[in-house]
Amino acid sequence: MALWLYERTLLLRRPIRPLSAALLLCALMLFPPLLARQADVKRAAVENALDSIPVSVVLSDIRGTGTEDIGLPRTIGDGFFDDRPGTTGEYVYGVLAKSSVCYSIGGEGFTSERRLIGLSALEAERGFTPAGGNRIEWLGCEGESLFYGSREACAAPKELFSALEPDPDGVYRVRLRLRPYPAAEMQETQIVLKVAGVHDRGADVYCPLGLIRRICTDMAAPMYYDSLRAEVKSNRGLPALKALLSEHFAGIDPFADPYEYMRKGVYAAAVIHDEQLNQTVDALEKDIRTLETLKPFLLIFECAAAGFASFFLVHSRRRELALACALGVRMRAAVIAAAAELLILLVPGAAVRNVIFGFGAEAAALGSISVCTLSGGCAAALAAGARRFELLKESE
Amino acid sequence: MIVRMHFRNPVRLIALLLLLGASVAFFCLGAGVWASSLLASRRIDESFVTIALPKAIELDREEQEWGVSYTERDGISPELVSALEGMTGGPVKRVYRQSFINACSPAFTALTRIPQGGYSTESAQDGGVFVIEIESVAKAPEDDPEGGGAAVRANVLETLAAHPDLGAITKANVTFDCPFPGGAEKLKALGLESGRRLIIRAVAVSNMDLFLKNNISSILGIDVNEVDLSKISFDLPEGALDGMIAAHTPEDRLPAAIYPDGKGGGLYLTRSDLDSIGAYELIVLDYYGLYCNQQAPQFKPDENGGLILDTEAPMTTGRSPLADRVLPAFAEEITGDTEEFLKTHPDWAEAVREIEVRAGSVSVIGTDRLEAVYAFQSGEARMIQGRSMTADEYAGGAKVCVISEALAQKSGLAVGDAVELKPYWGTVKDIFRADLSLTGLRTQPYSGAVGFDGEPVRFEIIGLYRLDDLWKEGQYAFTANTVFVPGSAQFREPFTCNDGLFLSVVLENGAEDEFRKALSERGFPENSFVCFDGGYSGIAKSVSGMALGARRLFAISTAVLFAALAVYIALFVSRRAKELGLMRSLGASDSGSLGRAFIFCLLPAAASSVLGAASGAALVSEAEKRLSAGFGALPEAVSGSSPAFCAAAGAAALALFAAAVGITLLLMGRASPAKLIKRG
Amino acid sequence: MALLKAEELCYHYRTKAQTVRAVDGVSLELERGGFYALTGRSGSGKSTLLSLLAGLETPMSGRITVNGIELKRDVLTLYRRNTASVIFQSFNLFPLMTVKENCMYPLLLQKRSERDAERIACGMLEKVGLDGTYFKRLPAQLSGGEQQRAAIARTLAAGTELVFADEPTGNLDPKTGGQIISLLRSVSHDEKRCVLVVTHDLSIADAADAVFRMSGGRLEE
Repeated sequence: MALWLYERTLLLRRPIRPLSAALLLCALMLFPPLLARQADVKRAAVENALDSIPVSVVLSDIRGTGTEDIGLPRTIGDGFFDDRPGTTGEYVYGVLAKSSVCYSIGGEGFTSERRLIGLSALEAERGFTPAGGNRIEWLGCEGESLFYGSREACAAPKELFSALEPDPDGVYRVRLRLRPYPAAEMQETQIVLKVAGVHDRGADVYCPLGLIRRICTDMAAPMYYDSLRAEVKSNRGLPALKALLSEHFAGIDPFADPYEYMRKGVYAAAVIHDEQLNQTVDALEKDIRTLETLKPFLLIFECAAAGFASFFLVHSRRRELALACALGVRMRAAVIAAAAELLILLVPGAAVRNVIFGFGAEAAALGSISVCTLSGGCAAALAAGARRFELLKESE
Repeated sequence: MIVRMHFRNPVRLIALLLLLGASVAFFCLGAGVWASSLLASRRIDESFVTIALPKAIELDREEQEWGVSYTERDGISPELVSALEGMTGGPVKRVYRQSFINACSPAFTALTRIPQGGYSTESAQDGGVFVIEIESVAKAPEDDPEGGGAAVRANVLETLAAHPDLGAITKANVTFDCPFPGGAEKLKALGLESGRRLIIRAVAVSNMDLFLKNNISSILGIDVNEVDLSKISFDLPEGALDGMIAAHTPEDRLPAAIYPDGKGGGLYLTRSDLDSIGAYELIVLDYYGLYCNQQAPQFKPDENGGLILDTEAPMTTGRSPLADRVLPAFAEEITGDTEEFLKTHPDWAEAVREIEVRAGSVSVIGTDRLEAVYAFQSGEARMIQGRSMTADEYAGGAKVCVISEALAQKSGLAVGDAVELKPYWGTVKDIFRADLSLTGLRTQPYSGAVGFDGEPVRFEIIGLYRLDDLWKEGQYAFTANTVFVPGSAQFREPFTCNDGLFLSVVLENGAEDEFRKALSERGFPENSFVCFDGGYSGIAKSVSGMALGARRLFAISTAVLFAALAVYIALFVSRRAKELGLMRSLGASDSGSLGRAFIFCLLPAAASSVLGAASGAALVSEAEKRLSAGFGALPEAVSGSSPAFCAAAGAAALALFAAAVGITLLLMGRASPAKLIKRG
Repeated sequence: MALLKAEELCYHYRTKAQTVRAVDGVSLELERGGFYALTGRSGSGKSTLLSLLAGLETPMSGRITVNGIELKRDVLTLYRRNTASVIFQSFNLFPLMTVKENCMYPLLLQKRSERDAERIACGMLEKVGLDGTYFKRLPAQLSGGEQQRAAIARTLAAGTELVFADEPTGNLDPKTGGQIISLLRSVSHDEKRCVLVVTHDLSIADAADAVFRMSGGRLEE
């Protein structure tokens, strides 16, 4: 009892020592759950990166010199639009594809310079992207949605449009003769398209991609995609997508012989632009692994600091402990008193920790620190008790 | 003696060392963890580039018969540029300017479209100097109603200068054009007749064989590489010509052969088509005929007889004066040895040199950040070998460059090689907007009349980029014949302007909304830019959350250090009071006793700081080494390292200990010796 | 001329409850070669007066003159080093210095060479009865009497003109205490040094040349 009274007196009259020890223990106990939380934040950031960072797939020629006129057969390109399981379309969305046939107007002949180009969306033609610099002026209520279906409508070049006269209903229409290539006379067909817009990009006419599909079917002509790129739906599906793409596409090979590849059924190279994703995820993963690698060492140092702080705390009062033992206090009681004092010092830190992080958070670390604290202090107390007579002679 | 005194209480010494050492090591590791998080956040932030592209701003609305047209304002006005630069430090990270100049290097062989199936070179690499022997005259000078024109078929005896992609030229259709007064006489004086040998300078060279193949390919819908001219048949189907003859089709347009399509039909080929086989078309002008535009600056002669830009004269419409300038060497009869001829005819030697320069001509773009160029930001251009330029290299104008993979392969160059770039301007210094917006940046053709714009400068190739389309067009486009150098390494007075490829507005990551708001506040439409951030907005919150968590961790580890220090001060330093009093009672001076006490107290703290920092730094360093081996190369544009942070943290801990101990002893030492002795 | 002259010394300290006048207007003179005793009840201010005279505290009023020079703050350090030394009741040896090092310490402060300091210190230790076997021991390895003798040796080794001893025999047996007092007397008479001993022991007071009695912070007439 006397010992308890003394302990209480000590805590009240010399607060700096126990307060500093309590602060140390509190800080040590807060660290592990904070570290665990930080690791969780980073893992969440990785998931976030996988969810947010866009990754695109771009098809180009085998040598990587161009993304236009790649001549991709329809059977392969259509897979990007098909979202059934096992198809490329299962993993991509926002496909920007182009395909074209030759057109002729009036009595003019067919050349490869005049093409009816089908777009799956406006930005499938790079000239119409913000960086491309070309524009379509839409007539009436028309807009980019023209390209999403297979309406018989188009965006016509300015020069062609200026030669047109409106129908009695005020609508501009253009009649085009179409061939898959200029000499395919036997496969020629005709179509009348409503002019939905006027553009400033050369002599080509732009229509929905779906319309080109229909036209090629009508002409009994094979359809080829001139260009194709798409966004990846879920970055978690990238490995599966890469495996699927490898069936029909190669990586870019600057020295390739395109015919060697074509003979193997590979018509284009598929490039997945996941550099940004990889850089971000790699940086995060490395940081997480750094944390995890250093975590055990941090815990070791924490336990060491706690243990030796408590040892030192008790060691600095060894003469008092020795005096108490000399005056008749049992050694066991003296050790228990020291342990109790340390427990009191542990309580605030544990309480703060539990309030902030919950009881279960990094309980093992909390336990380790507590055990080390008590062990250090008890070791010092036992040592003091064992040497009590010598200690009483010490002046310090 | 002080050290000995410590060792006389080994238990206390060990306890102190381990307490402080563990605390310092913990603090250093905490600093290392914080540094690692910071570096990760910075790496992520640096790897994203948010770029703003201006949209055309619609202005004057004009009713047309067919509807409404809008007159668009292009690009960015000077007022908007000024406003953007004013936003630097806010939502705008920086407005980067790119600059341009042409350059040539003997190490380069510029790319042309010929290997991709294009049948002529780009204008910068066009032209050639040839020795021909006329085979037949297709059109005599006298037969040209306008005068100054002629055409021959010739055997090309010697190619003195031409781009290698043109291949071996053996036959050519040569067209002469001398439209200025006296041109007809010039042609007559050449004596164009069969057997005559001429040296000619062609301003344009077209591979007609490839042209024919391309034609057959596109018309018959087959791949150009599958076109085999040996399949041409001269057996025309019966009655193929009947209708045409009846329609009085000129003979040169009558079918002379057919390329079969394998389906019973085919493409009819005329006599001139057949003449194209294995042939080239050479256009020979007696004037520069180089790039000119309606808005041309004016030139004035300089004192050396050359031409310099007349900056005082306003831009006028019309042709560049060089366009009208007569070529000193365009066609001439040649007899004897070609080498001797060139030695005695310096104009022809210069013409040869001009073509040789053109074969190695490239565009040089100076930039202060490659990743700020739209094509690199969007992924259309990617670094695939070597590295991009570092911040120091940009700042210092280092003589390093990044070239395209295709150009490197063509020229037989690799990362680490050096090239000497000699700058020049074409006919005019300013690149005109029409060219920029329609086709993108193209190299100007070199002209000996304008000459070079400086001495050659040596650049080291540090990286290769790959363009997904070598010949992309558009106002932000550049070809694979483009070399990137640091902006401050750029040659004197390069070209720049306020839009397209030349102006990159890079925003702070995640600041798109702030940017639009700032635009609106300055009186510009909020939606006048489209922004690309590569997905940063999706992870911005996570990254800032990481940074906050890392700061909290460091704060806790700092609290541990402070608490350990408080324990040390309370349990050890403050107990030196009695000794301090005793020393002073025995006659030690205040400073001497305080100094001794300071050293005594600091020794264990210093030792533990060093031990703790060393172990912390070693652990972090080892962890980083092991982890680096398992990860791909991370962008090294971010400097700093976690072990260095640990070492710095250790030094800071030691400084903190020293300060705390010193202050405590100083405060303690104010008391009298008797009080100090009693306190103990 | 008196070696030390104290005039109207005052020193008090405040507690929460009251102000304690430990020394209240004390004046005295100490001659060279004198052996003085300072007696009084516990709490009469003896130790405080000793601290003032030894330069361990600064009086709140009054003055102390030593060899005609007034003791001010700026000379206190040199005074304690070269002129006055103190033997404490609770020995106050440096716990982590050996006996010899403790003795050498004041000599090293006086800028003596290490060899000289060692010679003098060892000589003085033997004089107080601590032979060579004690030299390397730490204070904790000595008995109370041995520690006190070490402290006395340290003080005497300094060779100062003034020696103040605060209950030097309080923790010793009578025989040892008597030896210590004899030693102090001989130091004062033989070496012409002034020794002032604070003590409860009347036998020491009887052996002194003069006795000062304190009561309530004042010297009794």
